[in-house]
Amino acid sequence: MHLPNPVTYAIPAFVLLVLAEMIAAWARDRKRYCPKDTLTSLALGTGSTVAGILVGGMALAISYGVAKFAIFDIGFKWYWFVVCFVLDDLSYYAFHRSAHRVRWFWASHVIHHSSQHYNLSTALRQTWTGFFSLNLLFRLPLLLIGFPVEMVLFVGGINLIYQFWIHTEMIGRMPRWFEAVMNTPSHHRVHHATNARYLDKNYAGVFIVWDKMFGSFIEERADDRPRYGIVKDLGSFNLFWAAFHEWIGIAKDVWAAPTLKAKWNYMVKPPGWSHDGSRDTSETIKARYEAREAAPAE
Amino acid sequence: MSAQLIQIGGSIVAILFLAAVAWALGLGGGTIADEAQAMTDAEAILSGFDAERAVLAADHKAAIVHGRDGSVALLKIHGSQVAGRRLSAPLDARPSADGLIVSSGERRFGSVLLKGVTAL
Repeated sequence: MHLPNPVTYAIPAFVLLVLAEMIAAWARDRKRYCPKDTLTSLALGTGSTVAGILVGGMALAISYGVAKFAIFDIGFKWYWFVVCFVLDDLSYYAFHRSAHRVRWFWASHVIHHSSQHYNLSTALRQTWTGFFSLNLLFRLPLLLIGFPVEMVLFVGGINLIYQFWIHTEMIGRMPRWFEAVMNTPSHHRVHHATNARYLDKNYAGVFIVWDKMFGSFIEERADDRPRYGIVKDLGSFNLFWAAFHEWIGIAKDVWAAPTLKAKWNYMVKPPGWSHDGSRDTSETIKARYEAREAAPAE
Repeated sequence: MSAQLIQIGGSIVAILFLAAVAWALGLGGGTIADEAQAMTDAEAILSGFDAERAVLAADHKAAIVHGRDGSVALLKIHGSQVAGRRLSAPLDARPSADGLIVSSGERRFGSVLLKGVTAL
């Protein structure tokens, strides 16, 4: 069964919504957009599309190859789309959590977090190296269960489209029932924040319930406004630096690491890990913050 | 393949259009309001940094914040937000006609001009 790529059809809507948000920023707070940052985000998005075209054939070939070993033969009934969508979102949660906790995956994902702004153009800042970092692994279980490749790609596209609108500061909170079940701008602002209390939280794609189930949920607080970006901001709009800086960092660290174990750990331990403990991980940043909060005021 | 080329071509046109709109609307333009803001920003950006005093550039686009432990935070406006680096003494700083230029020691982050500043 041939299914269209829903993202292709959503692109005009993405452009119009970015335009609408820009006009709203012009009226409310001009600092929410910066032309250079927007240009960088959109160019990185286009680079991601190009990378997808270059490696798409290989990804598809692997997917069809794995699908041959499927346990069940699942058809294209509507309810299987629903089940596939939910399971795909769970696999997205697993991927996304790994993308923040394993440096190898982070090197590919960091591009999406590299903007210090948080607006709809940030959503389009997507990876160039997803195939190289083996992101495909996380979708293989769906194919092994027996969901057709076309269906998995289709629901993945819907998932990506959903995640576009949550990259905004223009929406405060959605209705309570919605905030309880779905990923929202508020939940995702937390995810993009570098404030110590927010680090490595809210990994959800569509359903925030995964974070609540697996202990990674935290609510956005009015007294701790999110500050966006990465722990060590790039301070540069260079596209290639944004796309490859963490890979370069891994290569340098692996080269200089004193032991084979340290070389391996520089690839698979959380971002910030170092063999001599000289760098900050999210755990050390959180611990330092909590100690400071607990200390009596001078 | 031709559909993919159209998609990429369309994306590039859309990018240039949106960037042009952002420029035309005058979006962006962040500054560091005052010394207190510079100190708050430095502590927020650099984990464990304990700010003691700040020196703010005349154009409010950059600042140096001295920490209680002797380390220094170099701040600059990046886009409309503040980016920073923790530096150790002695700083690599040189005077210029416009103010003091402080090197971050990183090629990509670059050197930062503290306009109107002559001493740290």
